[in-house]
Parts: sequence; structure tokens; C-alpha cells
Amino acid sequence: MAQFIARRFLYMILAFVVISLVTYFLMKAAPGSFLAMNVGVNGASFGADQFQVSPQVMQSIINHYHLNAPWYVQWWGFVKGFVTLHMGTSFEYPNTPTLQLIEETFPVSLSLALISIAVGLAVAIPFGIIAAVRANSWVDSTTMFAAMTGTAIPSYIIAVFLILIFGVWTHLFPILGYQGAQYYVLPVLSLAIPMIGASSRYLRNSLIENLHSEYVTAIFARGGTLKDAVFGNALRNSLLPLITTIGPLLAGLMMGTVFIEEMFGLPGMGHIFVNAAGRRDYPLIMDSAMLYAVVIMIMNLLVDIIYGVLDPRIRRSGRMG
Amino acid sequence: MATSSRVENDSAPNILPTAKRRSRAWRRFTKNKLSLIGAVFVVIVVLTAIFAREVAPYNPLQANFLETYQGPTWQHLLGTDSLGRDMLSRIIYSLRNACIVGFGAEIVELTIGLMLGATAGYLGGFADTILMRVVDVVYGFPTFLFAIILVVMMGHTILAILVAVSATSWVGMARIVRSQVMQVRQSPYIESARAMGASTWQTVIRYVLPNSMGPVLVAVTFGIPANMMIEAALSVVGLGIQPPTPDLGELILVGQSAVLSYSYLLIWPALLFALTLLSFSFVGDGLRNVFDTKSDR
Repeated sequence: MAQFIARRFLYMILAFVVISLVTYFLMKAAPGSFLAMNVGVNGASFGADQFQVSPQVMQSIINHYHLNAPWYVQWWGFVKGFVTLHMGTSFEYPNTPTLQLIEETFPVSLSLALISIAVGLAVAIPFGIIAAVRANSWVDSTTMFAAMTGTAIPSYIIAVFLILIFGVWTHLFPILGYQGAQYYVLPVLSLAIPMIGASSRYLRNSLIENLHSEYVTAIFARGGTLKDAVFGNALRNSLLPLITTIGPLLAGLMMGTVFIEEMFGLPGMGHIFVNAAGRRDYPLIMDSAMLYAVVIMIMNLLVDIIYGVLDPRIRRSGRMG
Repeated sequence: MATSSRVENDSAPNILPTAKRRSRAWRRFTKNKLSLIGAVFVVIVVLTAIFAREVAPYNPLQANFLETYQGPTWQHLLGTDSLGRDMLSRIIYSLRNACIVGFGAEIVELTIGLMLGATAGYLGGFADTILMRVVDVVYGFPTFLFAIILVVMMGHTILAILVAVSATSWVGMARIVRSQVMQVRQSPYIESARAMGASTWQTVIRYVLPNSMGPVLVAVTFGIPANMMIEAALSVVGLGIQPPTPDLGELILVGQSAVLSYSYLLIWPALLFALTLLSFSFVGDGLRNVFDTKSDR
């Protein structure tokens, strides 16, 4: 197990290097720069929010952010700053350290994703069990139809319908802003509903498979009831594979928060990233891309470790299948 | 096709002639009414997108400042937007982008996925290890952020969006092709093809790939709506195709900003998009039943 984690960890570092390099070069290849967009040199100003600065000031900005340094120096500066948590400031928010910006916005995104997954699993597991136990009945087909509908439609479309139903027609929940728990309801539901669909269907199928296996027949032969079979063994064996799907799901949810934040006006990391990309705010693009990558990789690693701990076959052999 | 059917006939479960097997597959597909309805709807959507110019009652870019924010009327069945543009026409034209990106990116993904997946799956060894490492890195990558960076880099054109959408999603296709090819590779008829002197290239193109197509076709059917979702998502965060061009995501973004006063602007594009995506997944489910593949997508 320790060897497995060590290997995965080394591999994560490699992936992190690749991801940061790719992001760096794509970002640099993008036409235009923050300075060209927002600073007019010697009075050549194009917009209300542009500053007029002299070439000297321009030069000092370039020096301050090392914009003339060779690519590996710049890239290494970003990576080193990120890893040691000394990210400095970004172009867009020169008075707020990026670290503080992340501390303020990232918890919003992360809690959105985590609450959604908790809500999603809390609903998906009972649904999956009911559908599996009553396989091919109307309960099953209704649940599975709802599941399929939920899976096929992305969270931002679900968000649209939730906004219309709960925000516009019934005024039950606020649809814009962030001032308390009730502002979380619709965003969480939008993210959770597609997840409920995928997870309950997955659980149903694997539970049905388990209920048809020989050990369940043995339980029935010994006089056990369906309840014994489901809650004794079958459910546990079906929940295990479900855990492996949570890693990719979380990654998907983190991405989903980007547009859900945009739709509901939540002050999260996704909003910061989208703005940074549009404005060529190099430090902020790098830091947020690296942050998302690290979070997604750590989540995947955690899920794999939990799976390894729970599955006796892997726990003993110390290898992932 | 004739050669591949002869080869298929050698394997145990497919003893029926091709024509008969095909009609059986068709019956199995049409037995599922939802899949059939989905297929019809998909065809309607695609035809509407192709013949948008003929179908749309108005020019989608034609503003009319005397008729802004009109609710549904006989002149404008779905009303007009803030510039007095006809919503029905805008929605019809917006299907074009969805279809171009949906199908176009899928063609790119399929091409890359087939080439890399087949190479890795058939040759195994070093090629396989490299592909799987790349797959792992891309899976660790925040794909939507990657798409955003790519679109920002290349400008908000349809080509840029096409590249951004397919840049990471080919990985899933390559994985499916790889695992299919690895399975088929071991069949006796591949062995006989090789024994009869077919080269590696010939074996893969003529025997391995045609016999791995079932799950790939299912993946394609689910891939198209997935591409459409990313395309619209880019517009939802304001980074999609340049504004005057009608786009489902942009219609949703604009509709959402005026939702409290003019909810009809939001509901129709969202509903149409939801139905389109749903139809694709009904078709995909039907195909999955026909090919009887296990896939967790």
C-alpha cells in the first residue's frame, strides 16, 4: 500500500509539471497581454478603465513580474511560488495577494462541490437500492428514467429550470448572490441532480449483478431474507465500485462549479479563473490552473486510497487492479 | 463489408448472415420506443440546423427596435429579444453551432482515438504504456479550464471551439478503442487472418477495427451531446462564439440575465437544448442495448 501511494505520488508530481508547462505555454501563446489591454503608453488610451503610464513605469512593471525573463525562469517562478505558497500578487488585483484571493474564493467552490456530492450520494444510494430491489417494476423504470434524464442534461441547464421554477415562478429561493445558506440551495441542486442520475444508475446495476451472484443464493438457501442479502453483503460489495466513480465525479463537479458560480453569481474560484483567462492575468491563470489540477489529483488519490483500504483484495496484495 | 462479415461468421455467436443480423439489430433498436423517438428528434434537429436558412422565419441578426421584448405573438412565435430579434429564428440558427461542434469535434476525436487506441491496443508494450500515461495526465487535467485557456488563446471562433472541445475528449475514445482492440485481438479469427499472411496493418484495418465498432458507436452517440454541452458551457461563461452569432449557450446566458422580467427568453433555448441532449442519450441507450455492451458512461 505504501509503495502504491509513493508511486502514485511521484506520478502526480510528473503530471503537475506537465500540466503547469502546458498551461504556461498556452497562456503565453494567447494573443494580447494584460498590459497591452489595460495600459495605454504615452496617452494612447482606449478605454475608461485604462491607466496612462510612462514607458519607465511600464518597464518597472515588466521587471517586477519578470516578464522579460527566459521562459524557464518565468515558469519556475510560477511553480515555485505556488508550491511554497508565495504566489505574490496578480495583475488584476495588485493590492490583494493571490493567496488571500484563493483563501477567500476557493472555499466557496470547494464547499459547493463537496456539499453537492454529499447531497447527491445521500439521495442516489436509497434510489439505487430501491430500483435494484424492485428491478423491472414501475419504481425501477421511473427511477431509471429520472436518472437518465438527470445524467443527460448538464448542470447549467438544470440550473435554468431550477431558476425558473423556484426563483421566478414560486420565489422560494434566491437566484443570485451569496448571503447565506439559502443561496446555496439551487446551485447545490443543479450540481447534485446530474450526479444523482449517474450514481443511482451505477449502484442499481452493480447491486442487481451482486444479487444474482452465488453468495446471495447461498444466503437465501440458508433462509435469509432479501433484506439480509442486501444489507448483509450485496450493498457493501456494490458500494465499493461506486467509490471509484467519486474521483472523476468530483473532478467534474469542480469544473461544474465554474459555470454554476457564473450563473448564480457566487464569488468562487471559477469566476476568478474565467476573468483571469479573459484578461490575460498570467499569475492568476497559472495559480488557479495549478490549484484546480492539484485538487483534482489529490481527490483522485484519496479516493483510490480509500478504495484500497476498503477492498480486502487490494488491501492484502497492495496493488490496484 | 463483405470481408468483415465473412470473418465475423467464423466467430461463434454471429452465425446469422449479415443482412439478417442487421435487421435483427434494427428490430432490437426500434423495440425501444424512446430510442426511436430520440432518433427522430435528432434527425429533425440536424435537418433544421442544415436548412436553418429555409426554416427560420426571420434573419436571426435583424434587429427591430420597435419590437423589443415582445412576448409570443403570431408574428414572432417565441417572442423577440432585447434588440427585437426573432427568438425562434435565433434558436433555429443556434442549432448550427451546436451541430458543427457536436459532430465536428466527434469526428476529430474518433480519428485520433481510432489511430492511437488501435496502435496501443494492438501493439501493446511501449506504445501502450505511453498512451496510458498520456491518458492519466489528461484525466488529471482540469479539462474545462483547458478548454477555456485554448479558446482564449485562439480567439472565439468556431474553429477554436472545435479544437478546444476535442483537445482533451479524444482520450476517452482512445481508451475505449484500445480496450476493444485488446479484446478482439485475441479472437481466433484474428489469429487465422495472421496465419494466412495478413500484415499487421491489414489485420487491424480489415479485421480488428470493424469488429470493435459496437462500443465505439455507442461512445460516439454519447460523445456528440457531451461536445455540445462543452460548447454551450463556454458560451454560458461568456467565452464562446462571438456574440451576434446565435448560440444556445449565449441565448441561455442572455435569457438568464433578464429572467425575472422576460422568462420566455430563457425557457425555450434551455428546453430545446435539454430535449436534444436527451434524444442523443436515448439513441445511445438504444444502441447500447443492440450491441449489449457494458459501459458506465
